[in-house]
Amino acid sequence: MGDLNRRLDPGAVLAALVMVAFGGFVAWTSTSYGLGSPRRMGAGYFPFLLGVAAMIVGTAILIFEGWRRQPAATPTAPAASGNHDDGQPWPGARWRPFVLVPLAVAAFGALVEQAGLMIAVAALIVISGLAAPRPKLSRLAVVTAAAPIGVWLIFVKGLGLPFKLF
Amino acid sequence: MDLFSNIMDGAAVALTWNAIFYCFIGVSLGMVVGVLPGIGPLPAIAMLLPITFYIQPHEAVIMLAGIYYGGMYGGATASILLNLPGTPAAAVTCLEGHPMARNGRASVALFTASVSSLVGSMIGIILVGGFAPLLAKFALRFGAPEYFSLMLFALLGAAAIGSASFLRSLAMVILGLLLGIVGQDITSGVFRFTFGLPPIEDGLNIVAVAMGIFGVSEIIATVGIGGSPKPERFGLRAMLPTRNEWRRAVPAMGRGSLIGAVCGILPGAGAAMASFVAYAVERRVSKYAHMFGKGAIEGLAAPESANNATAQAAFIPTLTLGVPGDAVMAVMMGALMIHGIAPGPSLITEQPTLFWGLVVSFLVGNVMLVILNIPLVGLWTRLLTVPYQALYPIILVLVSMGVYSINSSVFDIFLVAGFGIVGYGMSRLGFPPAPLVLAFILSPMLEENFRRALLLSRGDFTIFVHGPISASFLLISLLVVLFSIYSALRADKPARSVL
Repeated sequence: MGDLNRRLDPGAVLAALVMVAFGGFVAWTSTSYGLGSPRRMGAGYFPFLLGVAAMIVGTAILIFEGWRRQPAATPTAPAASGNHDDGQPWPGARWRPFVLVPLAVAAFGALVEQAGLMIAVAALIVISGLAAPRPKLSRLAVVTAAAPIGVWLIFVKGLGLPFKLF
Repeated sequence: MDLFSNIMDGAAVALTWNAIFYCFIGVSLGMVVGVLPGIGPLPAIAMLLPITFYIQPHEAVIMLAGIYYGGMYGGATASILLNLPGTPAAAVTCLEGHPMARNGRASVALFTASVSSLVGSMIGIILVGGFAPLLAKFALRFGAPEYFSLMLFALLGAAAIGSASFLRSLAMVILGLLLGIVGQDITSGVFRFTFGLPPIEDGLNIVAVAMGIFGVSEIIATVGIGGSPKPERFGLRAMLPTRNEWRRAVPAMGRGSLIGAVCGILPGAGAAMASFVAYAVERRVSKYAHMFGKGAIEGLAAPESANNATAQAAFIPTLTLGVPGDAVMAVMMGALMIHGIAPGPSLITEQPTLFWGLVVSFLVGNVMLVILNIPLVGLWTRLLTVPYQALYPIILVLVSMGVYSINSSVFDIFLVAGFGIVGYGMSRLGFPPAPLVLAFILSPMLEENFRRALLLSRGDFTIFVHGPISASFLLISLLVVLFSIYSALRADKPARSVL
């Protein structure tokens, strides 16, 4: 309680609050599916229990783990610098993977039926390739050109998967 | 029980050219993903899943299983030569394997790892062949209350065993159960948490969820690290351990295999846990404890046997009870169900050729792995010189195509992207993803058995403690929870010794 070593752990607090809010939402929504009785459960009975459990666990995390003893036992991210790739990292090296990798996958999804497999693969590779700390544009260009051909050879020609090419 | 004729039946399935070919593909790919850090067996399974739609179910199972245990072999190679664990289970192998390599005994270490892996696998396979049919027969007597209690035990066990805090793992279990609810309720037909989106009326796709949470989030975390390791050159002569080393390694392999087999059967334990426990045990019992950390051969042999025994034994609960023990097995079970195979107590009696074919293919696959592993060591380490920066976009392509091919669903690809973000955020906050995936696949079965049990008992909750089997599962679950609380309180005290 009066422990000076303890400080607020924002990550845990955030997660706990999300958990409580999420559990509340689930429990509240479940009531509209019909709870029924233990003997004859409605569609909402089981999710309602889980929603309540989520709120309890969230609260417990808030109480027991919202404050922690030492300054951050966060997983130390290995330094992205100092190895043999040339030059400075591009700006935003910290957040680029977080944004560009999922974005690349989503772009593949958006393009695969509209623009076809070839363009979707190329888009995925370009976008995700830019997520590296120091993207090598020459190599990226080669992979972007080669991957759709390889994918076409293996999956469409070789295995006969029904993909729309263009 | 005529074990011999069963094995002959299995051999007839597993020793066809097709089956051998798909087994080879599976174990080679497993090897590759085991060597490469940042890609586990899960993305590899997702990549191969679309291919399996065009082949026989038993060939598909043989191939997908090969990825899983093949990864255990590959993980050891990278750990020994480069101190780079390709899989979490291989992290322990680094502790003694890499010092051995540094002492100029790289080939001995690789050889020992291969032999240990083979020994562990064999013990695991014997256990699968001998024990799984008995367990299945026993499980035929399970009713709804027994299944409910068993799954509750599996989930709490998975939450208690992981490295993260029990509360956070428990939060992931609940989240996984909730995600498993999404879709149409089978009993009442009500659409639950579908938010009017037609693609999720049948529920979320397990492969898409697992791929986002494990595959994409792992790539997000690894991309930023950058650079690829420069393999050191080790002489690969003098493969055979000395007589003294044999004497130290062989009992360690036995102990490791047993620990691994137990961890494989226990839900939630998994290969990483098996190798850690095996290593810790060796350090206690070895006469050469002072050598640990400097290349003690028993510290290499035991965990390698353990993680391979786990990889084989993990098939027991999945195939006989329909209750997978870890995330990879959960996805494997999803893959089986796509092929119309429902794992459960009647699988072995209804599809004996599938089960025994798989068992025999384990033998075939392990022999292949030993052959692939030792002479081709140079090739595997050269794999690591392929820069990750060129590799990860290709992995993303294969994963996206794999997920899309399952249902031709664009929505599933968006799920992968979304769960990639969620999974990355969770692991940054110390919430482990594995219990979530396990809970996700168990959720529908848990609910169904919960409902059925209470329907039978007319709403009386004591039905779960009436039968001895169900009551014991609940008792063990309670002990697991109490133990977790106890160790969390103990850990809260200052100056806690590690391991």
